[in-house]
Amino acid sequence: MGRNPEKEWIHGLLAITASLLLLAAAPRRDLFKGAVDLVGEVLRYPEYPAVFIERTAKKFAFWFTDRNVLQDRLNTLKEENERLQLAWSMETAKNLRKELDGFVRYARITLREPLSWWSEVRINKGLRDGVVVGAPALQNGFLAGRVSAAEDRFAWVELLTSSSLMIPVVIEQTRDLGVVAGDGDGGIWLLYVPENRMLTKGMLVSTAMVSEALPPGVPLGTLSSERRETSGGYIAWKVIPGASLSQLYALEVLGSNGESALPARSPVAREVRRSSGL
Amino acid sequence: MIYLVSWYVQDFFWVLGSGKVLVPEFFLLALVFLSLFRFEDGVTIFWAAFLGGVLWDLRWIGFPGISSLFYIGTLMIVRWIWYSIPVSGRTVSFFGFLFWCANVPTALGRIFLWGARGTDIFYTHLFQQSYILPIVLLACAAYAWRLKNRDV
Repeated sequence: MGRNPEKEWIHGLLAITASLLLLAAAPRRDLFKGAVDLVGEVLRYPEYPAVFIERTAKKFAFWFTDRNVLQDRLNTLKEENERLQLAWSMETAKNLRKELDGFVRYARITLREPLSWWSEVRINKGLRDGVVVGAPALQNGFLAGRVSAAEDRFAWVELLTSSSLMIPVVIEQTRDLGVVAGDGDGGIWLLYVPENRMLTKGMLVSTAMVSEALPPGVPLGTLSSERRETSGGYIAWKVIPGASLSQLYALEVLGSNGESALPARSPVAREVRRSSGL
Repeated sequence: MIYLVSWYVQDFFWVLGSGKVLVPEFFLLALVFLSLFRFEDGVTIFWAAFLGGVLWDLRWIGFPGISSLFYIGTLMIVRWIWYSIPVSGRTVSFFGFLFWCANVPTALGRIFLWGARGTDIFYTHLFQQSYILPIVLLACAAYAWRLKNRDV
C-alpha cells in the first residue's frame, strides 16, 4: 500500500478540526469533567509503580535531609559544648588560682615542666616572702620536696621523686634510720636499711633529726610492700608518699623554726602575728 | 503498541517527576520517528496523535485538544518536509535535525503552559533538550542502520 498524500492531508485536517472543536469546548469544564475523572481513575493503576517509586524516593530524600539537618545540629552542639567546656575549664582554673592565692600560707605552683616533671616545680613565692634554700615544702602536711633555689619573687622546689634529692628519714615505729631518694620516674625509695631489720608495710616514714635545715618529724609517707635488694646487704623499700605529687597545685614552705615561712597577708593575720611576737 | 508504550512511558515519567520536571515528549518523538520511517502509515499516525493528545490533555492539562493540535500540526509539517525532498537528501543528519526540531514547538508550548516566562523558558527548554539528546542520537543510529541495510 503506497502513500496517498491527499488522503493524509484530509485526515490530518480532520484531526486538527476535531482538536480545535475540543479546544473551543474546553472552557466548559462540565462537558469534560466526567471524561477527566474516568481517565484519571483508569490510569491510576498503570501509574501506581511510578507513584510508588516517587513516594519512596521522596521518603529517602526526606530521610537524608533530616539526617543532614540532625548531623548539622549535632556538629553545632558539639562545637558549642567544646566552647562551653573550654570556658568552664578556664573559669575553674581562674577560681582555683584565686582560691590558692587566697591561702596566704601557701605558694602556688607556677611551672612544672614536662621534661622535669618528677624533679622540680616553680612556686610563686621567693626570698621576699621568706622562702630560703633548703626549706621543706609540704602538701597536706606531708613532705613533698625541698626548696632548691630561691629568687626574689619565686623559688624552685625539688620534689621527693627527684633522683638527686636525698633526705634522711626515720621509721617511726622502729626508729630505724635511712635515706629517702626518688628514682626520677615518680617512685620514692627508702635506702640503706639493713636486711635484718623487721620493717613492714604501712610503717610511717618521717624526717630524721640529722639535718639543720630540715626539721625532724615531718611526715613523708608510709612503706609499701614492694622492696628490692641492693648491694652491700641493704634492702630498698618503696615509700608511698603522703603528698599527692601528681596533683600538686600549691605547697606550704616551712621556715627554719618549723612554721610556715610564708607570711599571712590578711590584716587579721598580721595583727595576730604582731601580737604574738612573730 | 508502540503508540501505547511511548504514551505510557511519557505518563510514567511525568508521574515520577510529579510535575516538577518537564519530561521529554516521548509520545511525539515516537510518532515523528514512525512517520519518518513508515511512508504509508500517515493516517494511522495522525489519529493516534489525536487520541494520544486528547488523552494527555484529559489526564494532565484538563484542556482537551491543545496537545493533539500541536502533535498533528507538527506531524503534518514534518511529513510534508521529509517527503518533499528527494530520497538522496534524506541523510542521517537531516533526519536528526528534523527529529529534533519536531519536538521544539510542543516543548516550548508545554513550558509556557507549565508557567515559565521570559528567559526561564529558554533555560527550561535547554534543560529539557538535554534529556532528548540521547533519544535523538538513538533515532539517528536506527535510521543509519536502516539506510545501511537498504544499501546492501
